[in-house]
Amino acid sequence: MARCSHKLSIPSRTSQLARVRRCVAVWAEEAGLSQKDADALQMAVDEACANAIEHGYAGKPDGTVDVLATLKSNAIIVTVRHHGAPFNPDLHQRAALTDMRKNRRKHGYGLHLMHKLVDEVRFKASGRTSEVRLTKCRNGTKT
Amino acid sequence: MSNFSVSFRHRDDICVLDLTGELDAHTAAEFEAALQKCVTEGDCKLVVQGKDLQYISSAGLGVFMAFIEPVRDGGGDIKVAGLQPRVFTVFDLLGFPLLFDILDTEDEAVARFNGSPADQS
Repeated sequence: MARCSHKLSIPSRTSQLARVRRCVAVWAEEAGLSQKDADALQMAVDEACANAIEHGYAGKPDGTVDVLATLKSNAIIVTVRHHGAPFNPDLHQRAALTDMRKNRRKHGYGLHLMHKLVDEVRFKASGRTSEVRLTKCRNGTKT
Repeated sequence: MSNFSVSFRHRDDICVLDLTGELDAHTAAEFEAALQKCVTEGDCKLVVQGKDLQYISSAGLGVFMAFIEPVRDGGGDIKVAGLQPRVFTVFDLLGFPLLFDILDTEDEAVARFNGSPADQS
């Protein structure tokens, strides 16, 4: 059962990412996450928002990215939602990290990080709305 | 407002880049410009001093990746020193210690230029 929720809406500008991280840090503390888990959630949300801005809105600054948090008894769920180009994870298979390193890939690490940092990553697209839902469990097993 | 800065200093023929603040998708361009300046000016022995770096995202790691080959092709390397645990964790999660020489201190990084580079798998 949800204990409470928070919402932050930002313009689609990377200059807003620091603000998102500050908010997530506060929410994570409220959710009772350890510092390590709070750091991990903060990074995962940062990556999701950066993807929304840079890929969803292709860098256009007039979009909106919504960041919503739901605090549950044993977890915090953060949803990053935008109305830009949808992201279909089926079309963006994650290349193996070893191949990415060998090929000196400069992009594509954010998705890997999200999966390594939180307990669950779920993508959803409906109409013009795309979202990624990040779940971080208290005392979870991820970094 | 940017909460990231990079400054340069030299220790003999080694250029040390002092990073401060948060390196994310917004500030990565500033770091990229700094590394580009080094390459353009012929500096290829680079130590990135990360003791005051508070945060790094994948965009920042992508900048390291973009420059490692040009710098090594020029006979040098990018060595990373002094990372805080929180920042090192991000490098480690993506296996970057296999590719980059990451040292505890700047002095160790500088000394390493006299030895062999890390595994470049």
